[in-house]
Amino acid sequence: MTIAHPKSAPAPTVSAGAAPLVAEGLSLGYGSGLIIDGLHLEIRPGSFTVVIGPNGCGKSTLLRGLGRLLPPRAGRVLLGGRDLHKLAPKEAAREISVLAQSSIAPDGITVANLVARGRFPHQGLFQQWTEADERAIHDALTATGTFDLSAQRVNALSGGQQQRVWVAVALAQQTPIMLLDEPTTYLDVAHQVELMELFTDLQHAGRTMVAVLHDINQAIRYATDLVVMHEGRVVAWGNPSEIVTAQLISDVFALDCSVFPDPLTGLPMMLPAKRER
Amino acid sequence: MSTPVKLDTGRPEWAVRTRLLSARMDRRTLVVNLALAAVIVVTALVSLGVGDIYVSLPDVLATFYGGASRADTVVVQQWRLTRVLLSLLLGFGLAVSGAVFQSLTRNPLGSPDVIGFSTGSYTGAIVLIALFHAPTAVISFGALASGLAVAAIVLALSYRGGFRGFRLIVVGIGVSAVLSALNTWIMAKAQLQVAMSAAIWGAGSLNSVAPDALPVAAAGIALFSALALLYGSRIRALELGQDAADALGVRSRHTQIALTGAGVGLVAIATAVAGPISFIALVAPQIAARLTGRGGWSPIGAGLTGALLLLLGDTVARVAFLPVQLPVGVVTTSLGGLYLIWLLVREARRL
Repeated sequence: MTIAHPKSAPAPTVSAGAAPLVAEGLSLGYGSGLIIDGLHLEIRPGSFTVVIGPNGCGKSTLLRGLGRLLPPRAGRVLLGGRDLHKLAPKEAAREISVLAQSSIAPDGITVANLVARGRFPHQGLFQQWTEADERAIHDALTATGTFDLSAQRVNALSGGQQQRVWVAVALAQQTPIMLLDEPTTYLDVAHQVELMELFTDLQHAGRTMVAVLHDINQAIRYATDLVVMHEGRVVAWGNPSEIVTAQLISDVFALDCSVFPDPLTGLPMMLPAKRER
Repeated sequence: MSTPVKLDTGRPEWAVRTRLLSARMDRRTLVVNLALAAVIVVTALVSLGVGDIYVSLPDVLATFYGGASRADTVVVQQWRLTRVLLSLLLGFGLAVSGAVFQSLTRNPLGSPDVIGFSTGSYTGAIVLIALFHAPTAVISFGALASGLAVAAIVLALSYRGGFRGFRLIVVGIGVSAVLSALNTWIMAKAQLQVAMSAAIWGAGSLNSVAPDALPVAAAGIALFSALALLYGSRIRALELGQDAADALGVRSRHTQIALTGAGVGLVAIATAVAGPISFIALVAPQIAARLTGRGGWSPIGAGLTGALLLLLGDTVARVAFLPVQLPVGVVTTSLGGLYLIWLLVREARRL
């Protein structure tokens, strides 16, 4: 398998000052083992980069490394040329937000108050509730369609609504780059599509979006840059319509499958084969 | 500049917004805290009057504003004032410590009682009393040292690149169980007289505290409580989970370690002064959360509730069975036991 590099094709509007996020010889792991060893990857500013791969391939680990949740064993993560792990944590948190899988809403907290916690990197000891804070929360609630829920308790909302509230928490952080760890898992298909469309809107508004997804067809449909991982390495990287082949998917996922053009978009679409009996 | 927006957070609140300071205050929390403070003042005045010698409320006030008899002044200010102030201080400190541990472990069972500090300090005290017949000051110091040592062991055993709340609680319960067995064994081996005095220490009591403990306890509790309060917004971020906190730019491990230090420091001061007073740390933050209708970190409400609870408990312990004074730990344990049963029943129903 060869690594295809993305051409400079789909160039969405990029906000001024957007910086590329680059993994340079990045090694990551837990305990004594390495999951990712010497990985190179560039997240282009303004792209919607989607990482796919089988369970255990290291895609969530990579996202944690890019999001500063896991310190590198070797190599660096560079944000606009600066070592991300050497930035002050609050400064880094004003550049990159992460929608983590493990987040918990405290008992009884209301939507607006949860989203307000996303303002932490912008607040100081004496500046806890500025007009900018209130506006950022307002904008985050509006963008995610949760403004009407602002006074409700988070725990009383449906799963789809709760996930949109967590997106609002990350949005309130007002970062040019958003990392999303399996943001659509556990949601029904309508809510999955709704969220993916929201992420695409955010990308078109100038943000760089990076997501780890399980659904290959969803990844192909929404990604500008697709990253395919296998056993801790990037095995393919580029525009989905150029890199996705039945051969690639069956090699990486150990799955017999066919790839057809999607009748709605013309992009590749993967269908798994049914075993002959 | 665009027009300002107004958010509905679902909780009425007051906001301050100036160039130097911008903050908001949950209205119900503020009202509850002020009400708690008022109840504390009244309870304290009543508590100063009751006991083997009764002093009426106007006479108690007169000892502060002048015109009181010499006898009343001695009873109120020399005999009872230190004890009332200490019970308020220690109750506040224990409750803030409980709020810290419950927030860190994200569990209403997380408290310094549960993570083994109290049992550990009791072991130290029993060993010193039963095996070495040590004087009081040495007992306080030894209890403190062994409590800190046990807390350190529990924390070390449960630390794995960060604290997982549930692991901390399970390890704490395990270590506490081992030490309880050790405590029981030493007590069974000890002479009756020695075992009695160890048991009294272990109940936690303000019956014979020295007045010079007050300034030291006040300074220590103020210091550690201020540390915990300064970390407030970081605790609120940590309540969303360690990953979420890291993503928000909180140094989560650093914060966990600093807060654990503050929480252990607070309970250590209370234990050194009065022995292990159980359940205040466990109960007070939960009562405060129900009064304010707001879950999560609210240390001031918890602290005021703890102060009131310990003052009430100690007043009951002092006057309920006159001429016998009970250790306050007996009262808090009885009340706390009822609370724990209620909590377990409620948690069991939720599952």
